[in-house]
Amino acid sequence: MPQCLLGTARTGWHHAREDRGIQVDIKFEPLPSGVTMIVLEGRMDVMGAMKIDVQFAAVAAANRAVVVDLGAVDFMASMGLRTLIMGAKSMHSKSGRMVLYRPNAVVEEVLVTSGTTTLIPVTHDLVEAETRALG
Amino acid sequence: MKESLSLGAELDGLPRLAAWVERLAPSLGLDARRLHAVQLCLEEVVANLAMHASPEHGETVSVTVSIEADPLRVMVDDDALPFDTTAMPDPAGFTTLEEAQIGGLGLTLVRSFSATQDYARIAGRNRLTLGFDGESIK
Repeated sequence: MPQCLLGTARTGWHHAREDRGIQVDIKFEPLPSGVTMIVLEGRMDVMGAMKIDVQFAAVAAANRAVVVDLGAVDFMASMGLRTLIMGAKSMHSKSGRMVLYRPNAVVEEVLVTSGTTTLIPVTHDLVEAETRALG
Repeated sequence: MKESLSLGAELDGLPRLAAWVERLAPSLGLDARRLHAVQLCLEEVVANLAMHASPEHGETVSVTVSIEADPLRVMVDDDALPFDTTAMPDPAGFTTLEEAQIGGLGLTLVRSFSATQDYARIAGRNRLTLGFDGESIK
């Protein structure tokens, strides 16, 4: 799937890479299952996390089942982890669930090393991600 | 070889720092894994300085980042008040979302993605030296 979701983002993304600006993008997509997909793309470093933090928190707070597609995230630092964990915490307090979906190898290593995967499940299978988010 | 970059301890300097490391990667012989480890550690260390360091003199903190190959080492010098991150205890691990306290994640990542961390106070500056040759590198 979410190739289709990223179509409009790609043009702007390439431009951002060239000028070394803040290299992150966020999109939202309701899935037929009732899950809300948050698609992140680019660098979840300090600047990237600060750019999308408010939008991410708002969508997490407004939904009971969220899958975060990390497939196009190529860098994850502690501020990016903070964004994910705060969103999951806020969902959990309202009996909601967040699942992380298809991080690349280096991003998954950061998720595991930091202990984030003990708080938020990670899977590379979309059906499983949706099932776990729906509880 | 040794390369250095000077910058202010400010968050908006971080993209420039990441780009600088990426440009140096071929001449330092960094593969993708070690480039990632160096970029991640530098992001965490300099972001921490930008958000928490207090100037010893004047109103700003200046930072110089140096990288050496063979063995791969990264030095971060700053003129902030003396502060030794290597003396900080390991942050508590996560247990549950209810109890999770966000803090210390950057320190955990630096200690996991570099093999050694050494601190010295030299001529009125903090120097953190990170070594990247060793078994513990992720």
